[in-house]
Amino acid sequence: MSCQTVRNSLSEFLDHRVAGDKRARVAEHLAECPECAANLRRLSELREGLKSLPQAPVPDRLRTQLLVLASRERAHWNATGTVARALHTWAGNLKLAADNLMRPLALPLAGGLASAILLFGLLVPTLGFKPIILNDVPTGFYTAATLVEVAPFGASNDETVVELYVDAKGQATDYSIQKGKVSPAMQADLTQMLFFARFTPATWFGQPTNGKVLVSFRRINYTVRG
Amino acid sequence: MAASILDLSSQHTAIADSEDLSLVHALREGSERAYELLLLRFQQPVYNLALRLLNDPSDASDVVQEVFLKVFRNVGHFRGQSSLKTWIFRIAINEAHNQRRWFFRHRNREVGIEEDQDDSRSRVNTLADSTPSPFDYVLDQERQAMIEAALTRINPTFRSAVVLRDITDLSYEEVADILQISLGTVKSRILRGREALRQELEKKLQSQPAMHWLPRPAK
Repeated sequence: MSCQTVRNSLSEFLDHRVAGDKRARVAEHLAECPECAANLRRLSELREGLKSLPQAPVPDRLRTQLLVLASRERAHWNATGTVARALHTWAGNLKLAADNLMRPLALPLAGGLASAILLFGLLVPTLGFKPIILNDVPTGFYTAATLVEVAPFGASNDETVVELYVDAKGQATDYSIQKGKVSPAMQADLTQMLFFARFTPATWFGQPTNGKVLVSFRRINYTVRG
Repeated sequence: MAASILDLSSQHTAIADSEDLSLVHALREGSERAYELLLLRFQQPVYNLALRLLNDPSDASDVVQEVFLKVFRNVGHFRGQSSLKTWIFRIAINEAHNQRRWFFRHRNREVGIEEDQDDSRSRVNTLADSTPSPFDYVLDQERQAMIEAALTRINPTFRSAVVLRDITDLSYEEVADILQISLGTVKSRILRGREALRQELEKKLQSQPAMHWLPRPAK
């Protein structure tokens, strides 16, 4: 076997790619030829040198970039895959968006609610609840003036209706005849009667105010027999 | 004995294949764990391969990102005709080749400040093991620097074959699969690559007579 042939086979010989009879002949030549043996030794040293080259660690920045890349591509893959996977991804994204939206509000809301409950609890003992009175006058409405007491009045007609103007103090300030006729003598009696009459003034949201009262006088005839 | 070794080897390959397939299946399902596992298994060897082919940490980082981008996007098309490692390394070789072509088209490129920030090729960081004395430390550094420099000077076609075989420690068949060339061409490229590397180193030693190159096996 010539040196040139052996030289061409040395690389494969080193990698154990030469087998059987050929390997034996190359080995035989190497034992006899110092130059080819030196070539094999140098090749072997070179190979060991290459193998001993240190492994450069992956830079931390590249590791991070790869993780980000993987995350982005995975999201893209999931979003564009089958309908079920896309729906699952969208649902996940929706949940995440809702979480992100609600999370900043959760603490203020919980704090506000807790504060409100605490303050209400502190105020409850100070709240006085009055008993419900059935004949209580509702203060939220207008109440008309009412006649409390009036002296007898001698009317000439069968029925006389007088409209009285009552001020906030419960005093009649004026009147007008709505029905029936009143003689001048009766007017004097009426004026005197009104002067001594007592009224409850009208109220508006609980406050006394001016009002009107319609008073009807009827003549009653008593016949005594015997 | 040989037959039993072959049996063990084929059994190991079958296990690796099934692991690959389950990993690919999990990737297709969009499993977060599968994405992490893929990065965990392949980011270091792919980065090393790219670094040895390009001899530039910044370019190697770009290539690694491109490789994984393609892997993630095309994992649906992976049919399992070759192993996952072979498939990923093939993408890495192609991307490194593209990067090298881009570099030659844009020779007047900018110098990034990032290179200083991630000094990933710092000798302290890349030291394989701690040597017992400063003399051995310096000698290791010199030896590695010489081999790395010689590696960058040989033809990229031969460099790919030598790196895959001697540094990445792949078989001839795997190298042929990755480079998509015949087994005969792989043998030829490895032979010529090693020869070119040896000549480069001898040339260097002749120009520096005081320096003796004594490669030692890794401990």
